[in-house]
Amino acid sequence: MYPGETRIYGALLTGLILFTGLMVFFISSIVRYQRKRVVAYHDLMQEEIGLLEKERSRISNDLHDEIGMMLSAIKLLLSGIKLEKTADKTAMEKVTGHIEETMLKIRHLAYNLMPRILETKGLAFAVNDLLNMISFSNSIKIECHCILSKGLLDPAKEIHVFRIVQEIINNILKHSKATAILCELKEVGKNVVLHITDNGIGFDKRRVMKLRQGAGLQNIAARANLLGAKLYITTQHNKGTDYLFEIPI
Amino acid sequence: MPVYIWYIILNHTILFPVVAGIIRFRYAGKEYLPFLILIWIGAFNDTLSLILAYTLKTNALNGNLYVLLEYSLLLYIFYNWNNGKATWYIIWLALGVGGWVTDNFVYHSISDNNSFFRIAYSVITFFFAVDRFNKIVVFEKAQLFKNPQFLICTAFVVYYFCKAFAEIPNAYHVPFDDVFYMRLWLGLASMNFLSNITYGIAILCIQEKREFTVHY
Repeated sequence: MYPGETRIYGALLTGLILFTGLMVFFISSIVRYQRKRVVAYHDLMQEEIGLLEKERSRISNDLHDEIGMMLSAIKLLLSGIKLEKTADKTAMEKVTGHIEETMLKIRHLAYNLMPRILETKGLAFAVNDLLNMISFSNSIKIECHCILSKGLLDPAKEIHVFRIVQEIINNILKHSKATAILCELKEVGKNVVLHITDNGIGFDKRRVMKLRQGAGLQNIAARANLLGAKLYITTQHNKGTDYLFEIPI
Repeated sequence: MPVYIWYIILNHTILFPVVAGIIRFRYAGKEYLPFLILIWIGAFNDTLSLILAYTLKTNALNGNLYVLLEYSLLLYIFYNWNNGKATWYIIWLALGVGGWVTDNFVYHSISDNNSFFRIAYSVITFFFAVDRFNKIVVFEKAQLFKNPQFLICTAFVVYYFCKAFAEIPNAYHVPFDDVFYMRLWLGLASMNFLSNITYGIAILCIQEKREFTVHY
């Protein structure tokens, strides 16, 4: 070996080690900040959705407790009025009918905003109830197998799952032209599995995501992310859509 | 044109950020003042080096002193930008001073162009600059190319990366001919030229009022 050769190899080796070290640091630094950003984004989403749910709950309570009560009181007062003329009686019946209709609408509105049943009877019961209500008011055939012990998920998580079901059902009713829906909610291992499938026209996932359409889908994905859930959406033109969520308990 | 003239011209493009710094001086504040001082000292050192090279035929002494000062100022810049713990930066400074003393008094003489400390401080600066650069890239919501810190860190990353490698052959006294070393230093001067232009643009991007932003 020439006398200077050792120095050349030493310099090359130092350069190589230096290059590797600098690159490793560069990559690890960007990964670290990316993780911090994901955590910060997650916290922000949780905060925003938490506030939204709180506000919904407040409005729902106000509608149910205050306006609902007032309408009931008005209805009671009206029933105490004794009318003699037939025309007045007919008018009173109409007014009472309108009040009942308004009370029903308020109840639906309050339910959609924040179903009390979710707090009192749990997620499975609330989902069953929601689907029953939908099958009553729509011609769509809904099959529901929801078996989940109450309190298995945190109340905050239960709200997210319930909203996901609401959003999916809403999407199906609005866009899918489906005639049947199957909904399953069950405990599988250390997960709660939510599976909703329809026989509608399906959609082009790429196109929807690329054109930034589908606010509903993005909402579903955001909530699934907050739940730490795995989300699988399978869809094909005219072959329906299949949503599968694996939510860690 | 002789190579050394190119070398002098490229290094003296530091006058662009110097002038930009004078124009934007009143907006600099605590955030950018140390950087402006670094630029002004850098310009002074380049001129002094040129004078000493012509008169005493060596600029090693002022060069060795300058790199220690540059390292200290760089640490202070990152300390301000990162709102970091002072203790950590003092430890880095103490390590740097220790390394500088070892390189210039224990292993070599201060009257020689010593490269080990230059490699070490370039690597440390690269680490700080990359960390800041990545943080800005990941979290910044406003336009990056108008962000002075982003521009300065980009220039730091590129320049100190090249400097760390360029100093290796000199550190090992690799027996290449003068042409090799001349081209090597000219290459580094070219990177210095690019950095100087970027510093100048960054200084001109310093705004009077700064937006308050939080990470999301």
